[in-house]
Amino acid sequence: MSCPSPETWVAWILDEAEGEEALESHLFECAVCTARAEGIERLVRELNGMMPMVLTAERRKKLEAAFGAEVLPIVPVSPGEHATLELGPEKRVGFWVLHADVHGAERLDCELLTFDGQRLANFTDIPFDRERGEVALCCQLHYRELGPPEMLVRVSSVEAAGPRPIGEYWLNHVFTV
Amino acid sequence: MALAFVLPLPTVSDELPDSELARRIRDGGAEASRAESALCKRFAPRIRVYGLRHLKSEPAAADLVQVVLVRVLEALRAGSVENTANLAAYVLGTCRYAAFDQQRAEKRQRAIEAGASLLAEDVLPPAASAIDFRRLFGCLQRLPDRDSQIVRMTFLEDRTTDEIAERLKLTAGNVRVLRHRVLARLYQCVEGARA
Repeated sequence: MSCPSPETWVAWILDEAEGEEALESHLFECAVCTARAEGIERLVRELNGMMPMVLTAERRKKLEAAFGAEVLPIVPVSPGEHATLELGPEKRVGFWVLHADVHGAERLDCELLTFDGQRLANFTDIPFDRERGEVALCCQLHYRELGPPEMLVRVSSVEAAGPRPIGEYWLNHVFTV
Repeated sequence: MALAFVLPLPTVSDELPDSELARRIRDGGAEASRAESALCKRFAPRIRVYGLRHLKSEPAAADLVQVVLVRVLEALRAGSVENTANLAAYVLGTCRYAAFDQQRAEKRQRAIEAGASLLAEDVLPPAASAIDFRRLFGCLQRLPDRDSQIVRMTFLEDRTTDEIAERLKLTAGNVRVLRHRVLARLYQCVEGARA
């Protein structure tokens, strides 16, 4: 058997591969494929352990229950408002609750920008709480490596006629380490 | 002993075939311990990744490496491995049995610990990341929209393949194939950035 592709090793790691026995026989004979499979397994483990930036209602509940209000800063923000979230060694995780009029919204997209308009990230079809009219954005202490502490968040509703802006939020992070 | 300082000891090359390593281990003597080290170095990563895949836990995979290597070395020393030309198959077979035993033992342990779990691992901030977080984030951001959605829905929103398929108007089979491709690309991006 020649070396299988990275896609095949992904399938093996996810338990979705055909011919698993043959793949494992090859793995035990090939140092190159062992290194490849190790790298893919590490990536999958990392993704499985990651906390999403935009939280589903379920994850938000789990976080709230696990940490409690004392160590989990939660900052509500209305459209057009500026707000600050402080994180440090004692408070490593926190989240923003963006209030928005999501009536009739089928799909929300969310764009993260610097205050001067440079795009940092874009999330399409994000989870949101329709009943409460909320989008929960999670922040962690190690996100300080990703960019400047100030961030403009634009949320828009994607509709048949095109995207409709429903809120801009000016978020400032204070990281103490 | 003194001779070792005068004459360089023969080295055991990483390139020696499995059968030659097996022969040296079986024969014993000065070369045996170096052959054992070389064999462990060769097979430990393979057993470990097999363990991670089937046992889904780093400590369990580390245990598997120990158990399998001890069993294989004992068998080689005793000369009880018949076909040393196909040592990889012997190690894999040993690995399968040992992993099966471990899975049964862990199932019993889990039954004992059921209900004692305090906190789901995924709500804890990562203490030490195995992959540079910034690099992974950069690679995720470079994915096309649909690929990014598949990754997000799978790993961050805990959606089933069927749910993702319905949401993206694809078949479940398509989602699986696309997920294999996107993760392979992501892996190459992360590794490429590392190189």
